[in-house]
Amino acid sequence: MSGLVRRNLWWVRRLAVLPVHLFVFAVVVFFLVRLVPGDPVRSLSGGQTMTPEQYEAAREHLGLSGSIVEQLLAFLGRIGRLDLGSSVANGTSVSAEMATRLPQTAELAVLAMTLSAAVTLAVGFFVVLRPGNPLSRALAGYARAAGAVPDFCLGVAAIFVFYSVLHWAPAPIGRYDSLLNPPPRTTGFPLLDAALSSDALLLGSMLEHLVLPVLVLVVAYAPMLMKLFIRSLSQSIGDQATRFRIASGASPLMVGLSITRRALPSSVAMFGTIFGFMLGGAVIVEQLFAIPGMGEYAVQAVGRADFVALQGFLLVVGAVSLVVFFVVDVIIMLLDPRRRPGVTVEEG
Amino acid sequence: MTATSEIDETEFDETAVVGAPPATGQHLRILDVAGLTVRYATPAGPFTAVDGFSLSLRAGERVAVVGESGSGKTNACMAVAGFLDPAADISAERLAFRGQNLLSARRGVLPRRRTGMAVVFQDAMTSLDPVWTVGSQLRAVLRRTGAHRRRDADAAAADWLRRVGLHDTRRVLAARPYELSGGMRQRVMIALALCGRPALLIADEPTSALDATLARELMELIVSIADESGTAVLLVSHDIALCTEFTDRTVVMLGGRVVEEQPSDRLAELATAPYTRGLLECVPTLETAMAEELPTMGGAGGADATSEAGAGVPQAGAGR
Repeated sequence: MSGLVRRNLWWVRRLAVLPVHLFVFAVVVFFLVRLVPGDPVRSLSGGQTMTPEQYEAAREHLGLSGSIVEQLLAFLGRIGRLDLGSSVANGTSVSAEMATRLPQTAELAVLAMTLSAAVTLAVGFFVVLRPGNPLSRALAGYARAAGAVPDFCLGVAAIFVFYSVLHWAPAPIGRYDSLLNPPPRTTGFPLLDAALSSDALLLGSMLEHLVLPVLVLVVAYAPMLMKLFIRSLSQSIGDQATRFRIASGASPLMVGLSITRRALPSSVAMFGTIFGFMLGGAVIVEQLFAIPGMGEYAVQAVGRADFVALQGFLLVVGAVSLVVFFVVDVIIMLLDPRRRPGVTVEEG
Repeated sequence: MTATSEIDETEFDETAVVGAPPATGQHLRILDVAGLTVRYATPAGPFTAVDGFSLSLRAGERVAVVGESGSGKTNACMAVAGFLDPAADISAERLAFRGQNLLSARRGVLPRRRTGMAVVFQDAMTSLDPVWTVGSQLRAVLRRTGAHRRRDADAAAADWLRRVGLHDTRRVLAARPYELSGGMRQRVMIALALCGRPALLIADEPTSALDATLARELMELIVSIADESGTAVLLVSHDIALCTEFTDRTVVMLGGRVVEEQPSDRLAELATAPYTRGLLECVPTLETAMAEELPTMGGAGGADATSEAGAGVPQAGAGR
C-alpha cells in the first residue's frame, strides 16, 4: 500500500497544489480588477447625478461596500458557490454566459491544437529525416520564422482570398449559416451538438465555417511548436542513446518511439502554453470571424468597464488554464520521469 | 508517421549467409576490411582521418585496435559499425561483414543497424535511454530474438541481468538508468549489447570512464559472455595493457594508418614499429616505477604522421 502511495505521490502532490494555485489566482484577479481606474458606479450611471443614498445602494448592489477585506471574503464566498455574479452592463449572469461561450472557444482551440500537433509531428519528422529535400527546407524556414506573420494578418488575408475573391469559404459571420436553426443544446459544444442532432446541413455549415479560423490559428501558431520540435527531435536523434538503441538491435518502431519520447517534453510544454492562450480566446480570430467566444466577451467587458464580467472571464480562463497546465505537467513527467519532483540525476 | 519508413533497416537473410558455400579458408571470416579510408571535408581542405585501414576478423576472435586520440581508431571502427556522420566520405577496397558489402548501405540521418553487429560506447550514462526502464530496453532487443511474449521477454531480461552480475533483477528491471550506480549501468549496457546475440561486438573505449578495478572486471565479463556465445570482439582502446591482455590480436594505429599488427600475447617481443615500442614502455610496471622519464615521441615513431590528426571525431547525428 505504501509503495502504491509512493509511486503516485509525484502527480498527487502536483494535483494537490492545484486548488492553492486557483485560490491565489482568484485573489490576484480580485485586486487586479480593482486596480482598473475609474469608479464603476459613476461610469455605469452615465454621469447622472445621484444622491449619496442612491450611490451607497448601488455600491452595495455591486458588492463594493464595506472594507476591502470584507469585499474579498464576499467575493471568494461567491466563487465557492460557483456564482460569478451578474454583468454590470446588462444584468445577465456571467456564469451562464461562460457556459455558452467557453465551449465555443474550446471547440476552436481543441480543433486548432489537434491539427497543429499533427502537423508539427509530420513536418518535424519530415524536416529532420529529409534534410536535403527542397520542401523540407521550405518548411524548416517557415518554422524558423515562427510568429513572424501575426494571426490578424493571416486572418484578414485568408478572408480576403478565400471569401472575397475565390468565394470558397462562407462569409466570416458566426459558426453556421444564419438561416439555419441552432442545434439543440445537449453538451453545449456547438459542433458536437450538431453532430449529435444528426442535422447534416447544420453540421456541414459548421464545418465550413470552421475551416478558415482553424487554419488561420494553425498557420499562425503551429510554427512555434514546429521550431521547437524540429530542434529537440534532431537533438534526440543525435543522442548517444539513439545510437545505442540502434546498435543493440531494438526494432525500428522502438527506436522511433524512443527518439520521439525523448524529443517531446519541450514541445508538450509549448503546446500547453499555446492551448491555454487560445482558451482565453483567440481574440482577433474570434472577432474577425464573429465567433461568439471568450475573446469576444472579454473585449466587450473591457469596452463597457464591466468589472464583474471581466472578473468572471479571468477566473474561468485562469481556472481552465491551470487545469491545462496541470495535465501538461503530468504528461511531461510521464514522458520524462527525471522531471518528477524529488528526482535527482547525477551528471555524466 | 514518417519515422517508421526511415528507420526501416535493411534486413538480410542470416541463414542464407551462414549456409552459403564457404569460400576456401574464408568461411570463418566474419569481418573483412581492406583499404578503408575515411575523409572529411573541412574548411582547410580534405582531412583524412583513416588511411588504408585493413583488418579481418574470424568468428569468435578478439582483436584490439589501439592508438592515441586522433589516431583514427574510432573513426575506422565506427565506419565499420555504420555510425559515422553521413558527411564522412568512406571508401574501401573491401568492407564486408558476414559476406555482405557494407559500403553500399545507405547512410541517412538515422544510422542503420548492421544485423549481427552490436556496439558499446564509452559512457553508459549517455548510452542508455534515460526515460525508459532497463526492463523495457532489454525487452525491446529480446523481443526481436525470439522472446515474443512479454512473460518470455521478462524472464530472458532477468536472466541476462544475472549473467552480467546483477542479481536484484526485479528492482533493476523496473529502474531507469539514473536510478542505478555507474557500475550497474555499465553492466546493463553490456547485457543490452550482448543479449541480441551479435556475431561481432564493437566495444569503443568501453571501460575508459571507469576506475582500473571495475574496468578489468567488466572486460572479463565482456570476454566471458562473448566466449560463451561465440561473439567476436573488436576492442577500441588507448589502453595497451588492457588490449594485450584481453584480445588475440592487437592492431596499433597512428595518424590514421595501421603501424603494427601482432598477436597480443607476443606484442612485446614482436613489435617493430617504434611507436608500439614506445607505447609498451609507457605501461607502468613494478620495474618502470622508478623510471626517471617515460619515452616520448621525439623524432621517431612517425610523429610527422600525427601532425595532421584532428582532435574531434565527428560521428553520426546532429547536435553532437
